[in-house]
Amino acid sequence: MSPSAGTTPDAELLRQHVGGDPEAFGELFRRHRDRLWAVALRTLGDPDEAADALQDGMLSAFRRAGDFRGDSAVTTWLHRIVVNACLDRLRRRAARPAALTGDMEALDVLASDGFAMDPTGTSATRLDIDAALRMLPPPQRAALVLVDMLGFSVSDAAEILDISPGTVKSRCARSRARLLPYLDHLRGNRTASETVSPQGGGDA
Amino acid sequence: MNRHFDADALAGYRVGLITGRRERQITAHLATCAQCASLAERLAEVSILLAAAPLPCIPDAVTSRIEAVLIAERASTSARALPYAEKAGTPGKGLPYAEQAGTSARALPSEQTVVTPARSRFRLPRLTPLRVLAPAATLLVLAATGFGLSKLGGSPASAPAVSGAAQPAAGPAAAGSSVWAPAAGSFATDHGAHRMAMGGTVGTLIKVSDTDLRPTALGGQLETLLKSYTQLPSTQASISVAACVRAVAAGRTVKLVASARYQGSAATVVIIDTNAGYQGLVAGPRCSAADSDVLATAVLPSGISAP
Repeated sequence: MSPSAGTTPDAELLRQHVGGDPEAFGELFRRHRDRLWAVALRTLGDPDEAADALQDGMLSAFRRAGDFRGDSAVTTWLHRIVVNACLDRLRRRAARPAALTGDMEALDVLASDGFAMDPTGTSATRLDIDAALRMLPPPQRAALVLVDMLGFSVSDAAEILDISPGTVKSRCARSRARLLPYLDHLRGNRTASETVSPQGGGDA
Repeated sequence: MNRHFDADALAGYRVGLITGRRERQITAHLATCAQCASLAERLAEVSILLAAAPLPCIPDAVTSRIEAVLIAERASTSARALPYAEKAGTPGKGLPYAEQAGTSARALPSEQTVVTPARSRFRLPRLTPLRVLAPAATLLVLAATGFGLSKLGGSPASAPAVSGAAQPAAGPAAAGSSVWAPAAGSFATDHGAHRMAMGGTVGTLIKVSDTDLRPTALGGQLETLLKSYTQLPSTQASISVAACVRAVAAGRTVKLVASARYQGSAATVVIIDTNAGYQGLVAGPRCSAADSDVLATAVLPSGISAP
């Protein structure tokens, strides 16, 4: 996926876009689309939702490019916009069936809906990575996806999520602890290909 | 202190969230307890497993769709400057793309008082038009079941989350930055919060009829259409139609979309919900993201109760 104009720095492309260059933003999108897609898909757990969120995010970035201050990397800024679009969608989705209190346990219950999750973790179902991720509350999931799956530093993830680095660490730690029983069977082969998907996971 | 530690504690310990006496306790315990040491090791492997999972590639369809939306956004930023009424006198006869582009590339009209800084700097780019494959003798009515009419940029829900940077106080909402885009089943008003459930499932559905619009009866025909579109059969809409509508709507709130015959030629109808009532616009067969090709307009009486 090496773009033809790959030598132009991201920040320069963004400046060209703000200056009216009709091609610059498309180039930025092509350059980062796979990682942005991965973040959206893994945060939302549903391809249709991910496509909508990525579209929302790119449109926002397109319009707000003039707000970019250059005190972070363009890629961090783009991820921040897309992750926020994802979390917005999750909030709206969550608000439909029942008003969320923001309580983590309530989020956990919603997130585990349909997966017959055993809260003690002692008789965990075997899940592939995507299904396991869906069991996490969205804020925890987003942090873990950024740090463990996309390789962002804790401080970059903190900037993307607009939370403190300590909160990123704690969300990642809690997520890892929670995922452990469900991913234990993957140790050694390190691939999700042989695992079963949960029967309730037909939405992805 | 032979009490075992659970996964939460060990995970926090690994990232340095646990300090002081408790940290020393865990360190000492891990040195002697194989069970907890194993748990700590398995926790570390969770991160390794996650990092090793292949990144999914974005599907081509998603790339195409977003690129089309961005092209349409670029076009609508410029097309916003086009007063559609001026073009009403040229029914059935469109201008070449180049002339259209030249027309809309002129300065923004004075009535557009609220624009974002990024928008105001825009000049119309040269675009590859997305041609509408105009269906002959059909009237395609966009049911909001599939094409969401969503207001992405100005919605109160998304605006503060998108960027830390401040927006102009009035925001693009006042300028009608509502975005017409294929989105699943949402309908946002200019105020962004008013969402209407339009029924149906996710998917881009349009309705089909066979009305032939006439200049002399346009207002009445569009009014009838708006009142009765739920009774028409449905089919799928193309991304080209979406791009056309976005260009025509130019950021305003879309109430209804139709691609119809106008004086015997294929045309697309877009009904805009202005603050003062509805405005119907008829676009020609060349309507695309780059060129709204508006042939005629009609003001509809306010207070039509669309289904």
